[in-house]
Amino acid sequence: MCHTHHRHSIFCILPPYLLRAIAENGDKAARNMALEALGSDMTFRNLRSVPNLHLEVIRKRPFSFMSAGEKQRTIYTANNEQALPGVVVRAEGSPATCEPAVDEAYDGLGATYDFFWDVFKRNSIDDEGMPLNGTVHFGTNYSNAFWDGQRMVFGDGDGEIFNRFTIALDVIAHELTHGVTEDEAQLIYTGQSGALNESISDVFGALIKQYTLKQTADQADWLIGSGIFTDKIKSGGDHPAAIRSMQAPGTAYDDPVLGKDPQPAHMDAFVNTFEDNGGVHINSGIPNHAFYLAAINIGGNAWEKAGRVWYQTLLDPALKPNTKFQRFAELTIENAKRFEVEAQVRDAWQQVGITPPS
Amino acid sequence: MKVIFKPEGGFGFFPGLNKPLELSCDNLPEPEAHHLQELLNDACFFDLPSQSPESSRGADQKHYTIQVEDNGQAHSVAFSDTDANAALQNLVSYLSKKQQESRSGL
Repeated sequence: MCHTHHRHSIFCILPPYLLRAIAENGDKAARNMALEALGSDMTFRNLRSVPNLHLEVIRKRPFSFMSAGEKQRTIYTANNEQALPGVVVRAEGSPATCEPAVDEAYDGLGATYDFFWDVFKRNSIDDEGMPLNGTVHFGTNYSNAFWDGQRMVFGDGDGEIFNRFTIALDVIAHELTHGVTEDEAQLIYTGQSGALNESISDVFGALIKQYTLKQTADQADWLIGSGIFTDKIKSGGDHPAAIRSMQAPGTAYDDPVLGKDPQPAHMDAFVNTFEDNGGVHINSGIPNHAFYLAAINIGGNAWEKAGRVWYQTLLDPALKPNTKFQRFAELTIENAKRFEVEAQVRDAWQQVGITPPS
Repeated sequence: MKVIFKPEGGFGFFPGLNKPLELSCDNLPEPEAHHLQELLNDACFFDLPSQSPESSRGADQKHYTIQVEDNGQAHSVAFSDTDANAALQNLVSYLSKKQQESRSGL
């Protein structure tokens, strides 16, 4: 038998601040409905679900829906099942739950939103205030985090190899950035364009961690997912084990169970494979390392110039869904000119074996 | 009956976790072989489509391929976490646990 859940129509038109007041002060039924409404706006969602039309259509949203700089987070729990989105456990403005996965997801989405707003004046994933939804406790011993096109989803890990995936801010930021890339460039998730998609998520994941920790490029560890592994996993370098290293791709881990980090740092070691969607998490080491080198060449806070160059490249209409490394490098160099860091960015790409025309 | 299980994808690529698992009911204790058969029956495995429709959205999702050979019948199913119904999730949980045991040498 099919049960249909109806939401009271008033919750579709109330602005977020009123919904939050109801969520905090209303009776149980009103509170539940307000929390649901805060978590999803079906008008926006339906518009977004139409492939290839969304960019044209969503730009026409009425301005009254927007509240720039005001984030709208909702955290759900899947209660160790795999049904999405799950049950609301924390909405925007509600107090900490003292449950680590819930509060880390809430804080991590907040830090990511704040970074994009403070540094780039980007208002959420779609630059139009899209609500940020995250689901924690997905599955049983589920060792992964992913972006499903609508929300960020985090597993608890198996406790043997992986800790909970909300433990690392850069992992949360990585997933949210997949939403930004999907909104701006729709880089196809296979081969070199897929590796660029992955790399962009690592770049902004690293930048958001550095911005939060107030670290300059030479102070940062440039590790992605440090803390995700349990203490049993061995590192492949002189640093804690992590999922990837942007400074030294191929050294993030070297462990009897996991094997050795397969990421190349140079085009000479590019991996041709059918696995991993054509090596999206493998060959992303090359553009990751180019970004690291560019940030080190420029010096100072990586988000101020190198990050801005990569962000402008992501917004560049010349960045097509099937863009490969060479063309991406050319676009970053083009975008570097306005920040007067062209030489530093060009040198970074040359060091990873990509030589754009002068 | 032979079952081959190949997980792939996720937040990173880990060579040691992507190795396929091969299970033969002949080598399993009888109650466990029976349990595996029940999981396959509950998932209506041989009636499942070979490939879930591919979504153009999302990233970092895990994908699984399960191949079963039984009495001259063979069927292979590929899907991701968000495509799997509860019965298929139970089958993946069991096979993931077996793969973890095989990694630990149990």
